[in-house]
Amino acid sequence: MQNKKIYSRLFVMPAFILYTILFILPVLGGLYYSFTNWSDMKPTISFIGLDNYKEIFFSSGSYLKSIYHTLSFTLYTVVFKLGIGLVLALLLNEGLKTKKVLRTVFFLPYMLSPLIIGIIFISILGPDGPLNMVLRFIGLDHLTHSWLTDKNFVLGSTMGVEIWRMAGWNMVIILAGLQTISKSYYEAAALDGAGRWKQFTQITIPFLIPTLMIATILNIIHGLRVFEIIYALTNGGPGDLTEVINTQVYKEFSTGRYGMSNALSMVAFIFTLMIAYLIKLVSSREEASS
Amino acid sequence: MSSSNKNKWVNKIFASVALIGLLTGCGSSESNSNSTTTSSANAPDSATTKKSAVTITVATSANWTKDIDKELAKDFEAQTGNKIEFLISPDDQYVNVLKSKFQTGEGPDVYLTPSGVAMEQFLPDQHALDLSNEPWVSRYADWAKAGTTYNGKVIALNTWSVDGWGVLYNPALFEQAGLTVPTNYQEFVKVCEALLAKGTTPIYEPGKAEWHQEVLLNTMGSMLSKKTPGIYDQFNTNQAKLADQKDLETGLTQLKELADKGFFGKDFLSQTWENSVDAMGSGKYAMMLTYSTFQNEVLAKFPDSKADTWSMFPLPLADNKTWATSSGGIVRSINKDSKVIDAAKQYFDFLAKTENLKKYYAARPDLGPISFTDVEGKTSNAYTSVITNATDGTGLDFEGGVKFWNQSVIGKLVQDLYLGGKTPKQVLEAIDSDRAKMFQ
Repeated sequence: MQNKKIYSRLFVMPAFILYTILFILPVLGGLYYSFTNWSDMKPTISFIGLDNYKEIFFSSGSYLKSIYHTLSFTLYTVVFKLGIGLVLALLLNEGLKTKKVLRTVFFLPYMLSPLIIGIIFISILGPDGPLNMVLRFIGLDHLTHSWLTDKNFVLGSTMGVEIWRMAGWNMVIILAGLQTISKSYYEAAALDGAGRWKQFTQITIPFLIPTLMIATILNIIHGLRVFEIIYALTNGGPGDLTEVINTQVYKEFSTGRYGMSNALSMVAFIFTLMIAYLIKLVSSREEASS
Repeated sequence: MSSSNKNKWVNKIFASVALIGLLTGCGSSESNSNSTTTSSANAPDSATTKKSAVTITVATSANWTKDIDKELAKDFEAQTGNKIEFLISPDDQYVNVLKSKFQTGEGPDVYLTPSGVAMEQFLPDQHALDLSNEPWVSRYADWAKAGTTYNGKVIALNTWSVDGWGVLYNPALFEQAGLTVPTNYQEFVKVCEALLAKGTTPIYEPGKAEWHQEVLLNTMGSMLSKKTPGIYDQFNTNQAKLADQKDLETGLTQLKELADKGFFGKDFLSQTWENSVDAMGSGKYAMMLTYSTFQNEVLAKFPDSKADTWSMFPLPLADNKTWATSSGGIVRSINKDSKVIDAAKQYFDFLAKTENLKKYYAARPDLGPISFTDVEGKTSNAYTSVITNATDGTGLDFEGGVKFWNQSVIGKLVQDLYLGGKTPKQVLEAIDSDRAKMFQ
């Protein structure tokens, strides 16, 4: 019995050591440096307590704006990515002849690098880009905008690109969840006279909740870690209209303010941890109660 | 062919492609995508040379190293046997990469930086070798020596050029419209209004390029330093604030006014620097804030544009009449921790040879006045005219004279000004606040 316990611990050790070296120690290092004034302009590193965090949350700089942008980017993209992913999954779970091709087509954007997507969409969303050309062609001139520089649309445009990129990925996750629901439930419900909407709300959604929870958590993590798509599309601009936490981290690092860069990373890390933990808590309770 | 056979063939083809890719990746042990090692068929072959030959790593931003730099590196290798390996980083990542390399003790043997006060961000005390006693220093032009001197020591080799940013315009277009060179802001507005009335967009402004927005403010540096002698020193010791300088506030207010009046065109925030040659060559725009050799680039692409006849005047924000110039462009320093210092010095001697300088400048039509006195210079029409039009003379711009002058931060703040997110005063306060962090 004792040997069995030792063996299990021994087997876990390599993974634990690797995880400690590659993840836990860097995070602890980052946490420590977030309390310092580490900068490439200073020969020494001094402990400055919570000064970096005070500057993030109480200064008039653009840090708070970037946190707000990150949270709203996450919120809107999660809702639409999941919503569109769900609709696509429901459509392509049916007996369409072209469903395999369509699944691949919708999943393709996820396989492209966000940087390449960014470069492509800079052209598409430009003042004389294809999107405005199409709008003009169909007589909707009043809807044309400079999507990536108009202060009313720029953040929404970056969200739109992210939703386009990730909706297919959500579709695949939800499709996998749909495949696990036995057809017999639908057959029994149909015999009892339940319509499509009733079947959707009473069978599909309840059985999909664990899948949707996982997809939500992963989408939130993706949303809070957003960087490449913003960097490629707008670089946080114009002004600071699309600045998010990770573009700020990148800029602070570029200017050699490593202490502040680590503090901002910690803020993103703690937000991600808290939200993911809350959702996990809620889903665990719901699973336990059901 | 059956379906399963087809699948097998497809699998085999994919496996072969993957294997070739893998082997190609493994095979490239001496170079990677970010480094370019020069090689030459004419390299010395003697056993002695091979034994003593070394590789000198040169860290550079992509746009700072041109074909002629690589050609000269090959010539150097052919002559000495020593190889030059360029470590090229994308422009927007170079500073970050170089600083990281120094932080981790993996600094390159030679590294490129902007000249003047901007060299300080790379901690010359810790990293830059003193080159004051190198033979080529005595041949330096005054501005080149000043722009590569830190704490009384020459720490870099400059083969670039001194230049500044002014308003390039087509005199023929002005003549047709009965316009003359504006000498103050109000005259400038009238010129823009007249051009706009004739259906020409007055100014091509690449609003998407953050750094170009910073340049607009940068042009007011020399005016300020002439009006308030010693102000740069006060900025550099954090004793003066930009927000307290009325001229700068006025200049930014006027800049916003130019944008609001439509002088930059509609959607100018979508316009890129990369499109600037085409924009000016097309004749759709009458003026542009650019450097004095820009007209050569337009002429090269649009031979019928007569761009060589274009002239320049200082941007008259806050009635500026001075031409703000750089401290001398991009320069090369030697890492004092390098293990191949002698070879690196030999490389600098080679680059500073008169014949090599002539070859270099001949291949660089974008460079103006030359950093060495014994090589004949060349200046564009824009350069000659802006000197004439700058009735209050020339002086060092903010970038060359003020520490912690962050192009990206300032550019974003100016964009925010256009969008109405910040007032001119708030823009200046935000720049002060950003600079103050670096003094802490």
